[in-house]
Amino acid sequence: MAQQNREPGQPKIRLEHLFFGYEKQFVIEDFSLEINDREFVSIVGPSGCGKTTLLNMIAGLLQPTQGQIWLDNIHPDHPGPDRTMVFQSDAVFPWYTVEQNIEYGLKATQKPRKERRETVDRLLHLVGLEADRKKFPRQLSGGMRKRVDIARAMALQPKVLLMDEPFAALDVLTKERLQEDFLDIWTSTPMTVVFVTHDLEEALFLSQRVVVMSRNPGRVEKVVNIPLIHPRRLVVKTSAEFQEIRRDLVEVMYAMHGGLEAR
Amino acid sequence: MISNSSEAKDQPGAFAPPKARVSFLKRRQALGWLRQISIRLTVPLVLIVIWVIVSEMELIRPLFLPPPGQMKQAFENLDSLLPQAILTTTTMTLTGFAIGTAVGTLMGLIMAYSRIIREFLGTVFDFLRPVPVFALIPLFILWFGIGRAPQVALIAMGTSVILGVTTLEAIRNVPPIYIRAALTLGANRRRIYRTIILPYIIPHLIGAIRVSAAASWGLDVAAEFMGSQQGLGYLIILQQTYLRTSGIILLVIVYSILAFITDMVIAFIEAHITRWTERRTSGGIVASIIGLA
Ligand SMILES: Nc1ncnc2c1ncn2[C@@H]1O[C@H](COP(=O)(O)OP(=O)(O)O)[C@@H](O)[C@H]1O
Ligand SMILES: [Mg+2]
Repeated sequence: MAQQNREPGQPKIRLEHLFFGYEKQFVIEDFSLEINDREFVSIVGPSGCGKTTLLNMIAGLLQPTQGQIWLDNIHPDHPGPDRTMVFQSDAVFPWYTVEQNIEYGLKATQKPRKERRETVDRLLHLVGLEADRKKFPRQLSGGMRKRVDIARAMALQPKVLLMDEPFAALDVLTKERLQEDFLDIWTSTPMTVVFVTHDLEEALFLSQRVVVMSRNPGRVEKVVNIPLIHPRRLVVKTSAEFQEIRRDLVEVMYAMHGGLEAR
Repeated sequence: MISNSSEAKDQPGAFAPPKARVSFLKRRQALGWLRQISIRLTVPLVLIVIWVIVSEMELIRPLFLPPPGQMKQAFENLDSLLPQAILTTTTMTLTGFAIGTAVGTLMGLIMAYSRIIREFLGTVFDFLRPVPVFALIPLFILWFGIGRAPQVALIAMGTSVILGVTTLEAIRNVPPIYIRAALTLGANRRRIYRTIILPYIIPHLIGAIRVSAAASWGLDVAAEFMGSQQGLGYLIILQQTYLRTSGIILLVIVYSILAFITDMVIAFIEAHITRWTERRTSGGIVASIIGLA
């Protein structure tokens, strides 16, 4: 079932000379990047460098001050179910049960009842929450809530999944388990993933390509291919190859921030 | 495919207490109830005792504070009139309250939903909000005459202002993250109102609903004082004309009981529609700090 046809296809997302400022100063300045169809790209950078802002623009929640975003051949000026998002903070709706949360987008896009049922069942199985389908989010642990969030975003079978530091608030064990599980999910699903994190190791483990972002202004500092083959297991983190790439990137980040912000 | 046994352990209910402990807990619970009831009744009982002492020793003239014994007589005097009066008053108050709550909440929602309507009605709304509704009673009587309609309208107006302001404010406090999530999942404005904003604000409106329920009874009394031929407020005025203080006190108690029951019903409904809220999980020291236990 592993879907290994992950050679670079046509660019799915093209970011061309993006600028964005909330107030007077630009947070994002001249940011350009091409992301291929079904690629798993991570964007790494210190907090406050504009990662969330960038994802919000791709999602269509913010409009760039200057520059253009292309999704296939259109400009996404509005959020759409072809690009869903997993948020940095807890965004699972507390007033809905687990299954109602997962069903939310399916209802919003008016899928027929039978299809909704099947999709919800499939995703509950995929994220391992079948037994908790009737629970409210307050009854779940942080890791379980993140699983709900991921399932909810994937229910619409988006072409692009935007993930904003989804595992940052979790403890190491839960986090690593979710990383591995999520890689399995991605391997079996034809999705382009843009994964934002401040955790270099996480980015290296998950993605095919890592984009290092600088702060003030936020722009592309370095792009690195990660040649490790998928599917990956956690042990790959201890391999010499992994450590070598990590060392190189740590150096880049140290050079960028005088050793203060990088990890 | 993917199990999450490491996370499953922190689910509630994973550790059931042994049987012996259950019966112990039950006994403790029963004791807790007794304790609670006796604590709750202490202050009313003390007040009644003071009332008896004060009137027995004739510290206050019976015209101002009749002895408790007279209450029975007052009840017998009013007995035949009470059911009809309670029915009239309750119907009017609850009708006005229901209309006001619905209209106020709707106004708040509409004003948040549409900028045009907000700007259109905003000024009027801002002007009306601080006007003491009681001051409008004479005007209402002048305009609409004496009767049920102006009284219901008055109660509805007082209630709707409270709910309108609270609704608008609650909507502004909806965390943007939920709206962003809904947008990326394909929801439109209408759906966001129905599935995000409404569920989010309901727990925040409960406080205002309870306040306005209490205010409704107050508005009803005032309205009946001004002009009415039936109802509890009208009976109070009647008692006043005949200087029957005990009758007034009795009627006030009836009002209090009605208001108390309304509040209990609202609290009961709240507990059922806000099962999802975080505070339902607060326990121990947290609950004690925020006044839940
Ligand atoms: N709504 C906002 N208004 C003004 N400034 C903002 C807002 N959101 C973020 N910023 C600023 O923009 C910068 C980038 O923020 P953000 O995109 O959240 O960074 P990151 O996700 O990388 O931590 C930060 O300096 C932050 O203070
Ligand atoms: Mg961020």
